[in-house]
Amino acid sequence: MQPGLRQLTAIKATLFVASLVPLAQLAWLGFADGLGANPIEFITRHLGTWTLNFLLITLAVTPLRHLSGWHWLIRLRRMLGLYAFFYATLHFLTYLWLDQFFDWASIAKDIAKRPFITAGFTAFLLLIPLAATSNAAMVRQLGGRRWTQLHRTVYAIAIIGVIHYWWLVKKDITMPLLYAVLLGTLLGLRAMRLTRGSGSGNSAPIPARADRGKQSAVPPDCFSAKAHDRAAIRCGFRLGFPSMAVDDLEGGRQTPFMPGFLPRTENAPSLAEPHRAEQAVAHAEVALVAQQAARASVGKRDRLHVHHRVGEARRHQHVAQIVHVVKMPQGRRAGRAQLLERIGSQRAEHQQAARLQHAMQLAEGRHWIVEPVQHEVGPGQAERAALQGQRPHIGRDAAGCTTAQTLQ
Amino acid sequence: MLIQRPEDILSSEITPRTLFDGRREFIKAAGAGVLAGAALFAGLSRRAWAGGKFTDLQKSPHSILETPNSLREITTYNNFVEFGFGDKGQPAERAGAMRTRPWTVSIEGLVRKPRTLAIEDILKIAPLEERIYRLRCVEGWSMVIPWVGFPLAALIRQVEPLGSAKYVEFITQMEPAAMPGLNLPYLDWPYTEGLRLDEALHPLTIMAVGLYGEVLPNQNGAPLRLVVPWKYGFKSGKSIVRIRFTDKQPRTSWNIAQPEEYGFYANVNPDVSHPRWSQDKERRIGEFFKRRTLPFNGYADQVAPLYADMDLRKFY
Repeated sequence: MQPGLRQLTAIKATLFVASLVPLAQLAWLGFADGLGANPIEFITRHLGTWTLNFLLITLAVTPLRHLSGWHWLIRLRRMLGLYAFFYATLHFLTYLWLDQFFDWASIAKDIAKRPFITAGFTAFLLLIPLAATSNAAMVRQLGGRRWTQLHRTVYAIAIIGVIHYWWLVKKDITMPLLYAVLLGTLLGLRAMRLTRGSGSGNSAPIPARADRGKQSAVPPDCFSAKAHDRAAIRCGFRLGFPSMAVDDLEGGRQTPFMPGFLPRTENAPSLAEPHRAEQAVAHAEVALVAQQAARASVGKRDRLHVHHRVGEARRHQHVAQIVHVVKMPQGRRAGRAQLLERIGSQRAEHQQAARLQHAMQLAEGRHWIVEPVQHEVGPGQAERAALQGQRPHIGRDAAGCTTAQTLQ
Repeated sequence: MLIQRPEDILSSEITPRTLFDGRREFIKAAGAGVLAGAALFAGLSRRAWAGGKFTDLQKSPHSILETPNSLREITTYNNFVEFGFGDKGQPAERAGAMRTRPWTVSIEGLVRKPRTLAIEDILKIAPLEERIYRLRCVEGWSMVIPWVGFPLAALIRQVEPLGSAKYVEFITQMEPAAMPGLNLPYLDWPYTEGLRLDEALHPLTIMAVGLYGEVLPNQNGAPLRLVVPWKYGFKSGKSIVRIRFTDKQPRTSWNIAQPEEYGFYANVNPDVSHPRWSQDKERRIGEFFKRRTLPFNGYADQVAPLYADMDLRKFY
């Protein structure tokens, strides 16, 4: 399932309205005298419950994406996360205003002395930076990696949130336990993905520099970004290897983009001069995006958000890279398998870029690197591909066209 | 807020602020039958318990003058864990399944005349009074409730405790078919509470059989419950089936479950805070602003002497 842009907008609008239902419910119950004998308690509980619900729903997006292959779900995640913050804020305000009526002394005492309030307050404070950095501008400012790292605190927040609930209940832990199990499942799925890639694939050597200069032609059926796709080619700074950040391939803007080979830029722009990355766009001769990746993302009109380790990308909201070795010297299969394996093993939720040192090693081996799409490489795939002498598949290929063949 | 009213009017004769849903209709529909029943019972008992309504209630000097909460508030916001630990509407939804007739209470232990009394006999032990009391829950909320009951002391006198009896234990009914909470392992069932004998004999301590002039609704602990107004609500056991006199301090349910949170004494005390709830303030149900919690729930004048030599921070 891959909704078009219009459908996605409709889905988002529906979700936006649906997420307001819990609030409307309170308004209705208030109007209909249905809040019970202790309305303030009812409102506080209701808003707290929905904060937790939205936290869990937000955390469910990634596992759901992995399980279903519906990568467009990521487009809904920010809204869901912000709704978690929205209900958390209302929950907190209810406490401040309706429950305590701004009795600061009593509030301070509560926060200091009542463990469940301490926990809830902590979770709320931790949510604030996440909400504050949820917009595209902040992602840009922080850079994808730091943004991702910051937003990983949501795991802690959810755990603290469940503890908050757990400590609040008098004796019957049924509901907190339910939340704990759900949260454990969501985090466990991530851990499984993380550990599935670890402990293997670290032994093969990195190719030596001897292979420098040996380049074969671009594999014929690698995806070439089209001229109307907006893509930015970036040069790995200081390293002289080309890599690519694809930014918003969905847009139909006429950005000059020249097919051909990626330049090997010895004088790559440095981090200090991010604007110079733009120049690389003009110099780029071809953007190598594995076909499959293009299909999974671009072809289905989803945005391809690749956040670049080199600098801050433009016009994107999101993050996570995979460095995918597209072109390697002959006879270096172990090497490419290793790289991908590392990607898998070192990345958890967002299979991000291989680290800089990998890139360095690659640069020494004169490998071509393309950074196409996020969340696509399964760590085990690299191993399998290496055994079969194939390039690993990247993600799913709806059309049956695999990168393994195309890139052989 | 003090509402001025003639002192000779019982609050049971005043229409509650909010009538319990459907009560009017119920009364209309059941009217004829109720009247017939009333006539029958009136012949049997001087203070007729007339199919739900008590008549001839005595006023009590121990009643407070604060405005009682509505019947709806009192009967829809309950902690009665046998019917669930979840939200406070559960007891009202579920307690109807509990059978309250026939009902006997076994009075046993260190007494000269142990006996088993039917609820009908218990109702005749002493003149029924209306007692308007504050009720303070350990969770930080409170109500004012117009109970109908009689002093526990009257019941105790009937069985003549031995000199060795120092404590009284109150044990709640277990009816598993009607009480889903009993399946949960959170408390050591049956729900057990206890008082020191002098607390039990104190004139403020009553056994309640009704509220707002009518028979106690099940969710409030029908047909017979303890009311100890200067202690947190959980001390006042509901739907009592056994009263046992002992020489040792009874082990009480909440105290067994969470001793650091719930003491045996559980006197309302703004100076001893609870890990989860501030005890220096409370929300009176129906009010927006919180009130200061009073020592012994405002009954300090009457009951503080009971604890004259005790460190109530230690014996919380």
